[in-house]
This record gives sequence, structure tokens and C-alpha cells, in this order.
Amino acid sequence: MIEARRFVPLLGLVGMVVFAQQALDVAQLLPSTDFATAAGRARQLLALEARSPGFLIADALVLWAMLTSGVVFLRRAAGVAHLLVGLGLLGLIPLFLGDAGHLVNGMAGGEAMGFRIAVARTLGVLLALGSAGLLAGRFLLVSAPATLP
Amino acid sequence: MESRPNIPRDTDVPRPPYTAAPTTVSHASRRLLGLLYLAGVLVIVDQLADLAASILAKNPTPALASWRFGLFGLLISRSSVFLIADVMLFIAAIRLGHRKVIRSLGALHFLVAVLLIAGLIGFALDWAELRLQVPEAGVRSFQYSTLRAGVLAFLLTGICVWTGFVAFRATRSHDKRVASPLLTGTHRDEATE
Repeated sequence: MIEARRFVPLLGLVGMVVFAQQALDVAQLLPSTDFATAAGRARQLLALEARSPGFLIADALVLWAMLTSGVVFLRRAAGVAHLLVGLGLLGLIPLFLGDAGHLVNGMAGGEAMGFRIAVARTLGVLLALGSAGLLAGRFLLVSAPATLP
Repeated sequence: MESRPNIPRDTDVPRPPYTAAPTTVSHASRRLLGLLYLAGVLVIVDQLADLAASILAKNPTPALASWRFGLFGLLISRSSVFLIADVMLFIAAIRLGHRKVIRSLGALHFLVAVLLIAGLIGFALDWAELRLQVPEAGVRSFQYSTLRAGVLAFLLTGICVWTGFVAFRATRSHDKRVASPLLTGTHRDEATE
């Protein structure tokens, strides 16, 4: 028999390290970002969106470890965090659309087309991850505590 | 004084021991888990090939402190992908009950931990040599990159050491009487793997 439960804290730690690396990479761009301009804000959001698979996997690993360990307090805290992040991501959609609208006016044919595709992708990610964050928050807060097998 | 209802909390509910044995995995699941092995190995090989291409694209100069410093930073920047592939390999090995694979991975993690410690020491020495050569405008970025790589390398070393210990402790055989070939005629390990 393999005592798989011994690996659960490691799973959470790996998730946190992956999360930390993504956050540090995004933070590295912050000093050079000008949040006063639409271009600066859009650039930062696009960089964040490019890191979303890493954030998503880190979140899944941490949640997996947390649900397997069955600690109710952490489950509630994660539920609240997911609701807040979900709302934040959905709240970014109108702001990003406004900034992208300002920027696309100054672009020519091919460049504008590429930018529109990047904007569409980012909007899709914001919408999907924002909705998933709300659903995950609801699941973590409302459903009966249970541990994963 | 109001008495509290006797509702069992989640932590009070007795749970069966969380163990993974090959008998609990169906044939179809075993095939999928085998593919997870393959995917994990593929991700690692792909990352190593990509790293080799990046390093060999320019003329490697290991004698230069700046080259070694950049190489360590590059390796650490790929750590997330290696960690995810590592998780894939461990999940497959645990679910399939492959004790020897888990022990081999544990030994590999100890080796990686030793390499990371050696790399971290070299990285610190290179930082001490390079920090005086960095122009004023790039000092902040240089310090941030150093701190980021150092913290991540430290965390990775901790994960590797912990994983190595857990891999060996989780696969310890407790019931030696059953495993005795004199009593059963076969090794239990061979029967389970």
C-alpha cells in the first residue's frame, strides 16, 4: 500500500510555488507599467492573461490539496477569495474594452486585426475565468463539506 | 447555557485510510494513467530540449559569471513546467501503485536537490561578482531578478528534499510477514507491480 495522503501537503506547496512564480513574473512588469495611460493598462492585462494557464493550474493544485485535506476554514477562505477574484475579473471587462477601443483607433489594417484577435482572446479569458471563479466560490461556500477521494 | 447541537464536523468524520492500490484502478483507468506517465515524460523532455536549444543557440561561455548567472535564472524560470510534469508522474505512479517508480522519483529528487543547492551557491557567488558591474539604471531590475530566482530556487530545493523523504516514507512496507517469500512463495512487491 502507498500512503498517498502524505503527498497532499506537497501538492498544495507545489501549487503555491507555481502561483508565486507567475505572480513574481507579472510583478516584474509593474515598475515599467504606466497605469495612467490606456496602452500601459492594456499591456499589463495582456501580460496577466498570458500567465492565466499557470495561475489556473496552480489554483487547481491548491484546491485539490485543500479539498483532500478537508480543512473547513481554508475551504471557506478559498471560497471568498474565488468570489472576489471572479468579480474582479468580470469587473475588468468594461475597463479593458474602453482601453482597447482607444488603442485600436490609432492602428492600421493588419496591426488592428491582430490587436482585435488579442482583445477577443483576453475578453474570452476574463469572462470564462470570472464566471468560473464565481462558480468555484459558490461551490466552496455553499456545498456540504466533503473530501475528494 | 445553550447546548451546542452534536453535529459532526468534517474533521470529525472518520475516513478510510487514503491509500492507492492497483486493485482499485480499472483497466481503462490504468491505460489513461499510463498515458499520464507518457505526458509527464514528454513535457520534461520537451522542456529540456527547449532549454538546450536556448543555451546552445548562442556560444556557451561557462567561464563567464554573467553567462552562468543567466543560465541559472533561465533554468529557474522553467521550474513551474517541471513541477507540473512532476505532479503528473507522481499521480500516475501513486494511482497505479508503482512503488519502485515512486522510490526512483524520490531518489531523483534528492539528486536534483543537491544540484540545486550547488547551483544556488554558484548563483550567490556570481551575484557577488556581477553586482558591482551592473549599470545604475539596471540595478533595481538586477536585484529583483536575483531575489526572484533565489527565492524560487530555495523553495524548489525544499520541495525536492520533502518529496524525496515522502516518496520513501509513503512506500515503506509495513507488513513484512505477508511479504516473506518463505511463507507465500512470491514477493509481494512483484505481485503488486
